[in-house]
Amino acid sequence: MNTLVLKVASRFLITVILLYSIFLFIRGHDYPGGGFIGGLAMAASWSLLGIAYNRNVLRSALPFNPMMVIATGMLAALMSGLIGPLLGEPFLTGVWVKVPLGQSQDALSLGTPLLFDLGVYLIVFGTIVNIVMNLEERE
Amino acid sequence: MTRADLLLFTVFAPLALAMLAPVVFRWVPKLTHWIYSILALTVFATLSFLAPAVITDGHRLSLSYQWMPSFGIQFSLALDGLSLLFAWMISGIGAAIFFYSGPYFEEQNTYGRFIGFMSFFMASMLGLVLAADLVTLFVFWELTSISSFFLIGFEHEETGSRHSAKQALLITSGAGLFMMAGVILLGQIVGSYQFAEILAQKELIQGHSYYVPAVLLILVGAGAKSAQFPLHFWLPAAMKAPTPVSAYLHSATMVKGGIYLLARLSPALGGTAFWLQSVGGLGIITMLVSSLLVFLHKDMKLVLAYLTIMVLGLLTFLFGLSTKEAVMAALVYMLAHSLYKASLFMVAGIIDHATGTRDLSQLHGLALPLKWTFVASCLAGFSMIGMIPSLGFVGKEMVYKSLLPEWGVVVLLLAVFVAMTAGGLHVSLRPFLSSSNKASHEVYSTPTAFWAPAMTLGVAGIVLGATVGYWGTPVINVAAQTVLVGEVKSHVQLWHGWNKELMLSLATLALGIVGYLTFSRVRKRLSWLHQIFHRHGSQYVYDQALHGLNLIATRQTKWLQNGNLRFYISVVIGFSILLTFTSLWRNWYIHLPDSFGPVLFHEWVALALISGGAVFAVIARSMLVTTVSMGASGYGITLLFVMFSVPDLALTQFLVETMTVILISLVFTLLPGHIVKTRGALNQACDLILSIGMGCVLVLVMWNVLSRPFQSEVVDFYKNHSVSGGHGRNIINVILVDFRALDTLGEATVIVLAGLGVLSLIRLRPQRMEKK
Repeated sequence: MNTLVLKVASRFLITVILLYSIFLFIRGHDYPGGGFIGGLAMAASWSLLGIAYNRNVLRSALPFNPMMVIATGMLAALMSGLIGPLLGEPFLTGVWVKVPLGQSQDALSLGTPLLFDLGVYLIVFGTIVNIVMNLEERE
Repeated sequence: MTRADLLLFTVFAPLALAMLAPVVFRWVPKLTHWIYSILALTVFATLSFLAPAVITDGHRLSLSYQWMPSFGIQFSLALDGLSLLFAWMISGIGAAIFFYSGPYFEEQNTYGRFIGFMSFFMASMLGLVLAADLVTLFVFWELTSISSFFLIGFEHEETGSRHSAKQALLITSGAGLFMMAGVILLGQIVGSYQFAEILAQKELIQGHSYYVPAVLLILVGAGAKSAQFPLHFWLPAAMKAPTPVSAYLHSATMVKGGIYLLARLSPALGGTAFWLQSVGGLGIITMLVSSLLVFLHKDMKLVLAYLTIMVLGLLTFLFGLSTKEAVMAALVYMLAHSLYKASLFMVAGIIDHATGTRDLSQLHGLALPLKWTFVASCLAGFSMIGMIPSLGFVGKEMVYKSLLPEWGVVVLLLAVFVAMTAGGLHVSLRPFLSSSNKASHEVYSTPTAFWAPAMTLGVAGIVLGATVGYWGTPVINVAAQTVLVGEVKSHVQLWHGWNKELMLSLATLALGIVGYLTFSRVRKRLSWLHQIFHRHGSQYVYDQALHGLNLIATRQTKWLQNGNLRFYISVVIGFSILLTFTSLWRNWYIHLPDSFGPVLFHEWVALALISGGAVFAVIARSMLVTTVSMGASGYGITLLFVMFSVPDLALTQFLVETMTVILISLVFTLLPGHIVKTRGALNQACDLILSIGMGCVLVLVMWNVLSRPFQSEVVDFYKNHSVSGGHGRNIINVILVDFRALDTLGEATVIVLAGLGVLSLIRLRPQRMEKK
């Protein structure tokens, strides 16, 4: 299939969508976004690569096995829940730390919900890319 | 620790040791049977220690713990005359059989498992007879069925063993369900499950409308356990078990469980005409049927099994009569039977080991090679045929005495006893006596430990019989007292003088010997009976019923799980519609608002996109157009979300819709060429109905929710705590990953599983495609 337009456009689109998905993920806690949406967007960008080119390109572009991504995501989600019990709190209690940013008053709040969201992100991304990769047989 | 706490020891010590059995066996394989035999003797000794209080004063030692207070169920154990007799029997005979099982298994490496199961069984049986609460008894009852299942099917690689074990479990546990219903009925009548209270309420129970159903239900359960007709057929089949199992469970203890229950409940349920007819009648029928069947078999164990069924029928009949003499006779005969039957089974096992066969038509002349076994067999045989001075003789006399003025019944009993004598002689004497000078088979030597237990029990039968004047009166009286509720002061003695009972015993013996000598002739005459039972008997009915059940299950599964994905989805959708609509109908809460607000132009555009997309998806000819139209419909929904300012939902919907279109298109690229829609008109009509139904139901649900008054407490909570507790201003996200993180975790797991499922379906495809 000769899709020159798609191939050229996708070179830019893929990068943009990829960055946008990370952006969506990080801003999720205060603005519209979040792990699920970010994961879908990321999956969309890789699927675009797969459709514009072919399966082998997709496979070689992915530095890791999608199954590992899913497993890592699951692990991250569960680990985030287990940090609470280490401090004597129930499972899945949110634990937050404030990381000071330079000299300004603002501090970056990092917490276990962020890790959980990362887990969801990875799970969604991994599952969809896995399916897309396996469906792309005939190309 | 009070004396009553020792009762806990008797039940739970064997249980604990049962779990340790494999370890013990690996540690000291040669001593395992010693250890467990000593365990059983310890239980016996404990009971003997507690016995004097029970026997001399008629006391009842009991303990109980609250188990399920809201149902009034307690875990209680009690030792009284009846349970003492049974518990002595269980532990004493158990000791002998555990010791016997060692040489029987000759240190095969499965022995550890075996003795563990046997010990587990002994604990359950002890719990059964010591239980003072109907529900406790029922729990132990089922435990004996379960341990029996494992023991019958011990050689689990043999098809026959598996079949027999399954059959025994289904029959006894299935009947146990009926018994549970009866137990609950009794509990409902009296208001408590404790025996002490149930047995005190005789008039209340017998006058109640639940009396007849309760008796019938309990009789089904007890009858199945004690192999009464027509549920007797599992017992001969259970002879596939290793011989120690047959000796212990299926002659001396487990099958007596039903008898025990009937005895235990007689004070409350017995004495009525109904009891006499149902219980007594069942006993008589069982006796008669089995006395015919005993002639038809050649395997030693099968003959012994049918002889056991005869005695069980007799005991049931006697407890049905519920008179003082009948009860005492039953108790004595039961003890005698357990002793001699266990001994004879052990002899059968020895012969099996020594010659490799149990076929009576082939065995003869074993008296010399198996000297001591022969002696043991003779002793047990004496008790069985009722030769003086054995316990069997005492029991038989008491049975005749209890029936005496009724000569019709006496003659019936005479016939049964004659059959028993003939069969007993056939099994205990024939293999040893010779018709030729040499033995029939190559005989392997038997170690002392092998025949010693059988000898012990045989000797016990004679000794106990001879000394019955000393121990009989106190022990049997106190046991009978618990059954009859009232003082029993009857003498149990060996010799009553030359009276009618003695004449009857002599007549039985004489006719029995005749029967023994003409055994094969009788068998030929009765062989036609074998055919009838084979084709129409209970075993046949059971097999057909089970076969039919399997057939129905297979057909139904094939019909429901036919592998057609569309069928599954249609069924799921159809039932969802049905169930949702039914709940809606019951909680109809839909109010149409008085006026609908205005619909703005841009909202019309979104609606047009949604509905237009849906319509085109259905009427399009090409799958690609369908997919794209569905995508357009999804984007229309996104627009709506944006318009109603839920950006998170809009983003999610948009992305999900995109991915759906991509994935479905990818699937379609794999399908060959042009897809032509080929579903017939009827199927399309069904699809239409289901789709419209689902859509309507969802709209109704939505309307239902919107019609209800809005409760804002939950919303206010999240609004107030989102920033302070969740450190985030996006409430939806905070709910997803913080407040309701556990739900999200569950959903993420579902995504993973769904992905794995899809993956496996995709991976299955390539092989099939290549075959094309």
